[in-house]
Amino acid sequence: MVWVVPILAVLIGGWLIYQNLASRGPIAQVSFETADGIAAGKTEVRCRSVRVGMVKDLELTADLKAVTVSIQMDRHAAGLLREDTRFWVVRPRVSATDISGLGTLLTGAYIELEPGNGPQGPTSFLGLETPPPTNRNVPGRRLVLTADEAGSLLVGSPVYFLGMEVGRIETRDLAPDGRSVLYNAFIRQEFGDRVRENTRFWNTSGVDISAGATGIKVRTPSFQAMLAGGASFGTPDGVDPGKPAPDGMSFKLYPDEDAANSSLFNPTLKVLLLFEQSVRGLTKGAAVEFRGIPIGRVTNISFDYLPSGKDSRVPVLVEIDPSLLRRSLEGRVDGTDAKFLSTAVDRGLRGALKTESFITGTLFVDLAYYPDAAAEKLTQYGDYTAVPTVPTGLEQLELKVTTILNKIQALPLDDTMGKIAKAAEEAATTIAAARGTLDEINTTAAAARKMLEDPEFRGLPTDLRRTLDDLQKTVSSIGPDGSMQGDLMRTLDELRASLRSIKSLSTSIDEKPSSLLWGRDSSGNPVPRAPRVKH
Amino acid sequence: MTPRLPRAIDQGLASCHVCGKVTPVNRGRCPRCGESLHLRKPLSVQRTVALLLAALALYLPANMLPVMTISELGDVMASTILEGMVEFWHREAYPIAIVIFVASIMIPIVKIVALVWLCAAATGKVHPSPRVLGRIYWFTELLGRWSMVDIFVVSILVALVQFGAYMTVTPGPGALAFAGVVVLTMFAAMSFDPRLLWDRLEILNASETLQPTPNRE
Amino acid sequence: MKRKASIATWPKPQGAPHPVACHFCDTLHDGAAVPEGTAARCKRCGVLLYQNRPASLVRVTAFSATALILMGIVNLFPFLSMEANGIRTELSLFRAARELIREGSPAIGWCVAIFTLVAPLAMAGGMLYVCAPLLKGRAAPGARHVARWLGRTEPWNMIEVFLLGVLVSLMKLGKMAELTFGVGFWAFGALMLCMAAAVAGIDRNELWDRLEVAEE
Repeated sequence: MVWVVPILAVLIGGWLIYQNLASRGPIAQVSFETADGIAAGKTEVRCRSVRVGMVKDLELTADLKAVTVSIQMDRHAAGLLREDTRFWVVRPRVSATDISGLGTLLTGAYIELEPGNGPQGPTSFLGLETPPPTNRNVPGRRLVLTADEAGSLLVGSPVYFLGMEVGRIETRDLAPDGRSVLYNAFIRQEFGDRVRENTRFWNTSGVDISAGATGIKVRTPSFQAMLAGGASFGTPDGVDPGKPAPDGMSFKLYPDEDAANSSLFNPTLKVLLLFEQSVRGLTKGAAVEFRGIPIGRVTNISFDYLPSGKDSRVPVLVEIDPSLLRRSLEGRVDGTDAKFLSTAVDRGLRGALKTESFITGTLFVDLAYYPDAAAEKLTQYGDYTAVPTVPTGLEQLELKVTTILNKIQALPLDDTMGKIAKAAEEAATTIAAARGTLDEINTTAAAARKMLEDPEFRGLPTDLRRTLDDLQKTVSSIGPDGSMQGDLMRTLDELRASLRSIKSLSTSIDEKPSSLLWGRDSSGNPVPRAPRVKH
Repeated sequence: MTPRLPRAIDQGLASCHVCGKVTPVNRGRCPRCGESLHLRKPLSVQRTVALLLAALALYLPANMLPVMTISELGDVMASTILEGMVEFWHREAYPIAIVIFVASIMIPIVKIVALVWLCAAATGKVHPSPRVLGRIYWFTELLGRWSMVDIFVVSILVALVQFGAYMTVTPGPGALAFAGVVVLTMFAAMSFDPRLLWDRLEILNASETLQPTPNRE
Repeated sequence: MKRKASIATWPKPQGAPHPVACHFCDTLHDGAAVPEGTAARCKRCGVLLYQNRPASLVRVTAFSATALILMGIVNLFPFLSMEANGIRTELSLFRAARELIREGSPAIGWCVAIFTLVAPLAMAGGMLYVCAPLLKGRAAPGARHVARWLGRTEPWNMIEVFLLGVLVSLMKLGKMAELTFGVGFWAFGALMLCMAAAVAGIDRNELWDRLEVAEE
């Protein structure tokens, strides 16, 4: 009877051991760079805070460069070992954008498991050294952002919508062509629908200072965005948002909100503009405007677009949204873009460089209709059509001054000067001669006196009178009625007239300084309202 | 008058303390179990007293030195047995406080005192009734081991409370001293031969009744 | 397998009955057998001399075998686990003693090891080693030596004290953390009972008589 006791003990013991062995799942091998914080028999493996396994053993790999951690998985968790299952160690991490895992300072590190979606089977994994920012299975929208420059947008930077944090940047990579930076952004599920096809993304990191004709504007984002960088998105006013954007859709990341808002156009048409003047101050990305509305931007400035080297004009390639331009033409113009352009150019559409900002000296391209412009046609250079250009206000001023100077140069000043010199010479000689003559008169007078006492004096007055007559003729030709003086006066008159026209120009400049800039005929462009984005 | 009962010692017989077989002591070793035979435990009183003195020497450090150190978020607190008991009392866990008091403080002292008294009785310094002494001896032997409870508590806490910086328990020197006290008193009790008490009574009776002492063979 | 109540049903060595001396007052008795379930007491001091425990051999063997199995369970499975603030610590007897020995306090570690692991193991193992062959009437080699050491190990078996220590610790920790009893804990309780039952089943007289007979 009492033997029941040991038999019972054996049965219970056996059952317990069996149960323990049966509850063990497979063994997974994960390799990490370091086993910091991991201890065999103590460190747990968790998935969403539920224990799914325990570290059994730690071993250095054969090449001594990594650590292989053997994990005894629980049976119920065997199905979590899939092809793209991820493992990482949760330990305290402090960085500018992320403070995580601090709880593990007290509780000890553990290994987090994120099950993948691939097929089951593998037991060997490469552990991640840093935790992935968002759990892959968290629902939300994942989008691609392209930026020309990384700036201060980092992995882990938040994504804002109307000032609220709705997601974060997951990865940052160089684009395959090496010319732009690609970001993967994650937007949480409840905000996913806010991203539409026409939504614009812009960089809100850092402080935005812009100076324009209206003054200096300083815009600061949240403190966190200043430190950690951030991106924001929204739909500019007046633009139809469109349908919700699907996963994986690509967006351009604008450098700041203004650039995003002013990018209402969809540039599709590339046009070449050839400028005779220097394009210094014009940069890639500079705006192309029509009557103050941005319709495009400068894509490239390069001599490559001109076939031969003889043409010294500077080619500027711009891309514009023709739909915005079409609306400007009276009467609907249907047909291809090329036909529309041709019609527009016939009506006076020209490109010009205008100054955007005094302080920075940047230029932008302005398209406008110049009804008085000389008739020109579209020309084709290689792949691109060239729209004719006109010089800008500054150039026009240059032209005017050149014309005035030319006129001044045309004046026969040399001749006049020469004549004056000759006349002076002649006057000198004449005076010398006159002096001589007076001397002679003196001697003559002395002789005359002698002669007066001389009986031959009586015959002198008629000779003297004759001589005085000649002298008078000579002096009178120099005098105010003389022909020589008349020439001199005429020359001086002409000079006076030229100087007068210069004076009127300077007066008009005094009165209206802007005429120096815009010229008298200001082509009716309104003064732009919004400050320009500096590039 | 109670008839005098025969004693093994009077006949030169020794009872093996392991197997209980009664054999003449001059055989040297018990024929059944091989244990060495002696009429009485050799140098019983001396050994007992020596061990008791050693236990007493360790008793003071056992209670004055901390038995365990609790470090909680950098705050280190060492506690002795007394402090642990007081803490339980304050926490209104009265039964546990009493248990600890009895087991860790009372029992060792009681045991030492009892054994000292027994030794005194065995050497004739005091004359209490043997039955009483017998009860006392049985009592001390029974309870001696329970003083170890504190050591086990310390070891359990040390093993369990290992929460890194949050809370960690480490054993202190008092624990070792206390374990020594318990072990020594156990050895002391084992060294004591209670038959000496009855021998003493026998001598008293003999001297009282003035009967000739029987021959020892 | 309960034996019928009878007197002296186990094989006795020659020359029975053998005299018995009281270990307390040294009074000599004639060591007559007593009926099963009864005990013989000293004439002078009344202390227990010897008993006739029913089916003692069987009981000892069974319970000590169980005790050994239970000891295996106790050490294989976690004893007690504590969870506070998301951290879990587990206590298992063997590991606790080992860690105490390795880090910090080797003396206490050895105390715990001896009193709760070595001594019970020696006792249960010894009892089984001696008693199991005796069931068939044979004596295991060196059984006498083992039996001798059994007697000496007996006072150092402190399993019950350890259990009390566990209870006290529970009171101390219960408020600050969540404690869960593992399989090892319950096995330990059962072990305590089994050991007590095994030791209580020992009839010293019967055991030695049988040994003597078996080795003759």
